[in-house]
Amino acid sequence: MKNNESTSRSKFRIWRVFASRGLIAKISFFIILFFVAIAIIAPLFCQDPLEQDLLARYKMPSSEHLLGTDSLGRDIMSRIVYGTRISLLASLASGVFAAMIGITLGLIAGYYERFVGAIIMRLVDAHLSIPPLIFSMIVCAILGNGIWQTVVAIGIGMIPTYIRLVQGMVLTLKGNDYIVATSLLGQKNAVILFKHLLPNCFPTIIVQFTMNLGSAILSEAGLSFIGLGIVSPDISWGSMVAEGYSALVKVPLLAIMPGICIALVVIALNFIGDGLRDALDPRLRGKL
Amino acid sequence: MSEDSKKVPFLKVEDLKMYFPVRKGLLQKTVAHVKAVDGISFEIEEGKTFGLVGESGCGKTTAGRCILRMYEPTDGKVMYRGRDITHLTPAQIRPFRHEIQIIFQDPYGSLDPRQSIGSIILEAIVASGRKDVLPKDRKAKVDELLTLVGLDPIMRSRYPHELSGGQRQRVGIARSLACNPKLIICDEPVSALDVSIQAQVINLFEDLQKKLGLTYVFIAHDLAVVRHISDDIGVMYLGKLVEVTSSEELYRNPLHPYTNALLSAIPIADYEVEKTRQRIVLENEIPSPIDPPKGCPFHPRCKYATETCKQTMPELKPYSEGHKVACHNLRTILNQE
Repeated sequence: MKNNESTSRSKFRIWRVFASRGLIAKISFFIILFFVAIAIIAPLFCQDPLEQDLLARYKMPSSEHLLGTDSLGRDIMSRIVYGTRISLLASLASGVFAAMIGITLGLIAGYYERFVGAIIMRLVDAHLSIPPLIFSMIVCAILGNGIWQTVVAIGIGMIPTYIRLVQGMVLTLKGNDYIVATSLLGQKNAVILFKHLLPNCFPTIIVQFTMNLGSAILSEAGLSFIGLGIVSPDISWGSMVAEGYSALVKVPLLAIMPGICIALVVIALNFIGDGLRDALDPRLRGKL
Repeated sequence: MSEDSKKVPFLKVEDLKMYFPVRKGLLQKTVAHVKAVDGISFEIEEGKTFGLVGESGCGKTTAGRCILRMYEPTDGKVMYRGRDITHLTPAQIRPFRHEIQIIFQDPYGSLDPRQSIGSIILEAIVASGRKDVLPKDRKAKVDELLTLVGLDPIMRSRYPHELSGGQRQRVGIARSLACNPKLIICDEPVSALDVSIQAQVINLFEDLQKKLGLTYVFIAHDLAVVRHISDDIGVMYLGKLVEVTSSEELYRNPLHPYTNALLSAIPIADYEVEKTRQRIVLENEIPSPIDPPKGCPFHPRCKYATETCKQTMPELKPYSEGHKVACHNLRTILNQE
């Protein structure tokens, strides 16, 4: 029973298999849900993260400032919550950006493997020979600081993985009789690519996408930490760590709290990716 | 065209050759060729069935795919209704792409697992660009096609994994029919099915031929199946046709030693007769199509082989009306019998 990979269409089934991965997958899911929620409702309960109070610099946690204040007397708690917004947005946007370009190029590279595909894949090889973070740094240095510049910089760094992944899948999928049959019906190539090949790649792409969100957050934090990427007045976890780093002894929470957030989200996304991979793997159907 | 159509065969394959290059090394130099199809010729009349038999790897599927123009043949000609389609570009083929269709061997791999049955057939109707089905009638046409192949129209909302092998094969047939084809290449359409289902599907093929006037190229390795459905049969061995004749004649009077061996492999249902059945067991393996033996490709396994067989390839010559054989030693073989 090869090729039995189609799905019973219930979303609950995927959730069931996903949940049966164990407590960790479930907890990870709710961690992400929690961060997304606070990012959305941030203005409802937070103080203005930019409001300075130079008389209250480097305050320890109190009822007024739950996590204390930073070098300019700004509320750390509010800054983390607003940082969540930008960090999550930047990682999601760069993930979508990379996925859209990478998947399209991957589909084309796999389908027209002879000439166009060869060119695309050699470019991918060239790209992969440069470490992604270095590459993002270069792009960031060229484009300058800012959220969208960072999104592009991180996104470009992730494109090759998608191309590789999708190209490989298309190479195997396009040999299938149903693709051959469809092209013999006189179907247009674009339709075959996006209506037949793409949906059959989806399970794998979703897993890759989830995992990439985690690494995008890391890249963003890394870029912001070294002063590229997102800089003041925009707040991101990475730039907060960089600010807090110099006052690590005085107010440890300033650097530690955003660091914990980064770690939590990245680890949670990785576990979700693992869980999804199992949930969407047809070979594990029925066993779980 | 109508006057000529009597003289012009529906499908004519002339000295068709399909060599696949074997590439090696850094520069991908062509070091050899796999001679998958090595000069075959046959004709089919409209509304008839031509059976192509032979063991695995003899090139029958490749021959079918050359007719479909999935491959561009290395040499030779494929004439479809008097028109040379051998070297047409995809754009030139497009107008009658839908007239030549294929039915695959594997009913599991030939349907997109993420498409419902209805949408598979609907797509075929739309993609073939047929003008006779108006957009508003398409849904009705899907139901009509499903009924035609013996499936309940309710099936349209099902997905391939919910269907049995036989049902999937029927969907595959419905998809081919959706674009109103004239010629269907059946590439071992029943080999993957249970014997009981095989009979049903074969009967379906015959019904459809009667109803729609289809022409089939029926590829199979099972002679019993081919005999039932074919008008003419071509026996292939290592990329060459060794015997071509009507299906009755082939069973009554098989001439080529390879055909004889194939026929002797069909089991007989009657136990007593089966016990006395003489099987001709061929020795050795089928030679590699990269480096086929000189002369007759069958000579290393043929008990009648002579020096001539090792040197020259016998031509496909008429033995009697409508019965062609490629063998040097027909006389000897006939005398022995």
